[in-house]
Amino acid sequence: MAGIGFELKQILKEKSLTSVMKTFGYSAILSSGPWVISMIIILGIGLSNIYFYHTEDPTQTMLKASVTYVSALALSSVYTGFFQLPFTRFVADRMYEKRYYLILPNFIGTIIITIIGGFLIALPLAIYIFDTQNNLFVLLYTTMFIVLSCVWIANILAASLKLYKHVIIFYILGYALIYFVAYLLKDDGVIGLLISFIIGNSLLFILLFLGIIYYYPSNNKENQHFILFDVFKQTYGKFYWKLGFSGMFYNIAIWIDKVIFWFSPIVGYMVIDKLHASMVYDFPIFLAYLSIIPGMAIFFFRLEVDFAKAYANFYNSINNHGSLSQIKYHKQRMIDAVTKSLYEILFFQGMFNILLFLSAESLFKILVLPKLYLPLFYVDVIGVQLQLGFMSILAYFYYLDRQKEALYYTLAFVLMNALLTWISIQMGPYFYGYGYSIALLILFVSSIRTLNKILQELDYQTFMLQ
Amino acid sequence: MKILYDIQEPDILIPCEGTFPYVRGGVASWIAQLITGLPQYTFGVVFIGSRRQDYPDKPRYEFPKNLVYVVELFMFDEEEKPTIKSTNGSIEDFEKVEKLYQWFKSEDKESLFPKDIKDLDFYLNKINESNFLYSKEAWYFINNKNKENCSDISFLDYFWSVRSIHIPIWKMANLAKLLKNKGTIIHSPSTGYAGFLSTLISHDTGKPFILTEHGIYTKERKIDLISSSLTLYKKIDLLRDTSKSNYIQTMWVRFFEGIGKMSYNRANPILSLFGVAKETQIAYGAKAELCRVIPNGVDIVKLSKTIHLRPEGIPNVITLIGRVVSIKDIKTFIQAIRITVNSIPDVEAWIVGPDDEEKEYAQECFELIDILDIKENIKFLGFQDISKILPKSGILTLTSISEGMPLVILEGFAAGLPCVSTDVGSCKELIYGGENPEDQALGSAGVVCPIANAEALAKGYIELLTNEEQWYKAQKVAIARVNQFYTEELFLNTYQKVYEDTFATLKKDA
Repeated sequence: MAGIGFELKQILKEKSLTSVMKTFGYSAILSSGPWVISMIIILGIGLSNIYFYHTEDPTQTMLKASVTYVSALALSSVYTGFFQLPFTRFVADRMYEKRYYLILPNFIGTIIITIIGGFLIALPLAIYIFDTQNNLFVLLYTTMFIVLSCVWIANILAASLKLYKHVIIFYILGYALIYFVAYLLKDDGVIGLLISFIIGNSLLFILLFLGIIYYYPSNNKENQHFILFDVFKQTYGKFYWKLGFSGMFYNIAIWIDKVIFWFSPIVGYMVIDKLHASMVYDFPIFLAYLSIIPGMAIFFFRLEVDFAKAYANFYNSINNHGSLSQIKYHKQRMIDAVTKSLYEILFFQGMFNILLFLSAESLFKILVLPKLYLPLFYVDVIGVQLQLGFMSILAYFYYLDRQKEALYYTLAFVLMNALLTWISIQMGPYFYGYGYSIALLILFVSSIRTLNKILQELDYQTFMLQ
Repeated sequence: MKILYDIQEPDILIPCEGTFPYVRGGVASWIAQLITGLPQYTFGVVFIGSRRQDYPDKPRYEFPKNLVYVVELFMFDEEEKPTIKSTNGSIEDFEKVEKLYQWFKSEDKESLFPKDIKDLDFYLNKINESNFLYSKEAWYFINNKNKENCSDISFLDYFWSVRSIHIPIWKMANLAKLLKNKGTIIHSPSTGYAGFLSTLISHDTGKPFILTEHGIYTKERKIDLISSSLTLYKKIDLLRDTSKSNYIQTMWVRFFEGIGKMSYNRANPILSLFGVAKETQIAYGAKAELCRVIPNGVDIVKLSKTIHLRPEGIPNVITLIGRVVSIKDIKTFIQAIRITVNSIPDVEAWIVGPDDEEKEYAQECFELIDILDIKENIKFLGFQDISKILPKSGILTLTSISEGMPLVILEGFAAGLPCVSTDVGSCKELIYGGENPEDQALGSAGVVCPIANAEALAKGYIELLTNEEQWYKAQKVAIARVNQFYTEELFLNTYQKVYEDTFATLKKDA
């Protein structure tokens, strides 16, 4: 008899992305951890400088060391920004496959690549930037850059492995050591401070490394390797280029407005060789960054509690043969979870900001800061809140695996932050801070629209475009 | 899509679905017989399969000299999918799809096939494959259809069924584009996808489309669906509305009926192998005046020589030529033999055919023989040369629950062997005579029984084996019938005539 014994079989690969994304979505938020931490530290150093330094010309030494450290923080986070997300995604994929034993060897492999690449970048950079400093300084700077790069990679991995508690303790220990060593070496000026940064961060890196080894050993009969380069050799799938670039762009973007201020005449001035700072701009914005912490916590909570569950329910309703109305219902719950999280960060962060506005004057008095900074501080607080919103939406993009949108938006962040900041400088002191805030206002609003479109089309995308 | 063989332009293009040259069987042999038997024409074959892995690597048939063009397409292979790209799509085009659906759903077989959908352009450029697979409009369309018709069934199942139903349409449309200039006549051995392809080419180019149906495709698919739905959608759910959960099945049935109607609408002539098949075609929407029966033919020369080898008298041997599989209902045959043994203790039953296809079924048959204590009477002979078996047999039998036109009955007739068969396919016409009054006047060449009725079969066996007069009369009828109506020569001449007539109308039109 003629006729195909046709296949009613549904040739559907149940790509239940849920678990992959769960790990990964968090790390998108957590990747901004280093940046927040840097801000706190810079402030801490800045303030402690006022209170406990007693050497001659302490401000100059402290300022020089801080600016050097900040430049290393910024440059190393841009450099490793390229590896962080692709590496975490690689880890998330392997964890989804339950091949935990591949994590450690690939972590070591990635660290090796990071160190080699870091050395090749940092050494010429240090020689170029610090043209009047001695070789020891250049060497220390290169070391610091490499150690920080390793810390970022270890940090994001530890965070995506959910070793949150450990990470926090390790940071406290690491930075306690910085303060301690800095106190011991207080007579050695900038060099002493650089050494203390290196020692503290090395401890942090070693602790993170040990934590990873302890919880994810590579000893398995299916793996005999100590070092693997699967991420780069693309053994298990393509290198996530888009994630790499979006991570890097994001890190460039959060620094670019400061860099422009540092290197603009009048507002910026030279601190140490080619490194600059900006009296007017730096302090208010770093202070404003601190205000982001409660909002981040709220968002993180909402993402974990509401959205992750709604997301899992949506995919389960499809895979478990739900009807269309059930699928649509769960899609709506997911959209509700997103709405709720954005509403809450706007609301609570807004409330917090109002409190901050009301108490800003007294706060500035306590911290012995000039009132001159106040207007800029207000604008920055708003900008920072918008950045939190934008960051949250980026986290949703990563969670929903919309790498292309994440790439475009982070690139837009770089360009707009640069352009509007430059314009604000041209317009005069009254507009300082507006460039950054307006750039984020535009990005936040338009990324909401994009996210809305993505969510609306999620069922279409899930069914039709796979 | 892959062109396997292309040495010359074919006169006649045969699209065939899941058969020649990869799958052996009735239709495949028929195609091989037709091509080899009419060397004055060149032929092209289009093989339509499900997935590459479902078929052997090498063709199972040698290509005759006049087979000059072979192309194959596996509809559900991944690489046949267009690249994924999100598009908007347009509402107007889906309104046309809606019109097409209405036509598919309509019971009225006279209603005309919507005009713009006849166009190849519609499938290739308007609602092209990626439009249907990836556009937003298509998504809304599928959503709405789901809401309208079966909002409470598993959407995942619904969605994939909709896709599986539609994907072949574009495969066929693309194939039609490729084959536009191949062959002067399209001759399809079934409706279904092959028939749909033929319809598309025929509408697009005006080429004549001849349809020969072996089984009734639409009916066979319905049986497939019911049996597959037993396993696939077997979700025991107390609160499930059974009428709704069968919607997916209804969709498939409607689809096959629809593409069947399209073939019947366009094909001329519509041929079948026997009268009952013709009636069924008409019931499914074929116009009676276009329908005709052209039975298969067998090479009688070799077999009729074996009549001289027959021993004196009637051997008490009942022969069943066929595979030991459930569709042949060997178990009923075994039971019938048990009853026959009661009257004719020395009767022998020979089962000629492989028993390794459904091993479990064969094992059950062996056990049944054990239980019924007729081990001495039944022999499994495996593969045999039928020209050696038939002269030693007294009756040829067929106990199948489903058949098309079994050539083995005709071969038995040619060897002078009456037949006892179940009433399936064309068996009744072969044994009692077909539509032709002359044929009926010949009389009966055996006995026809209801299916799965061991008693009736046994009655037939005993009657023929014990009543010498009736047996010889049946033999005479059998030999006369096969010589007069079922020779290979007649079969080939009839098809030659069909082709000649079709070519003639083409010339006249030109």
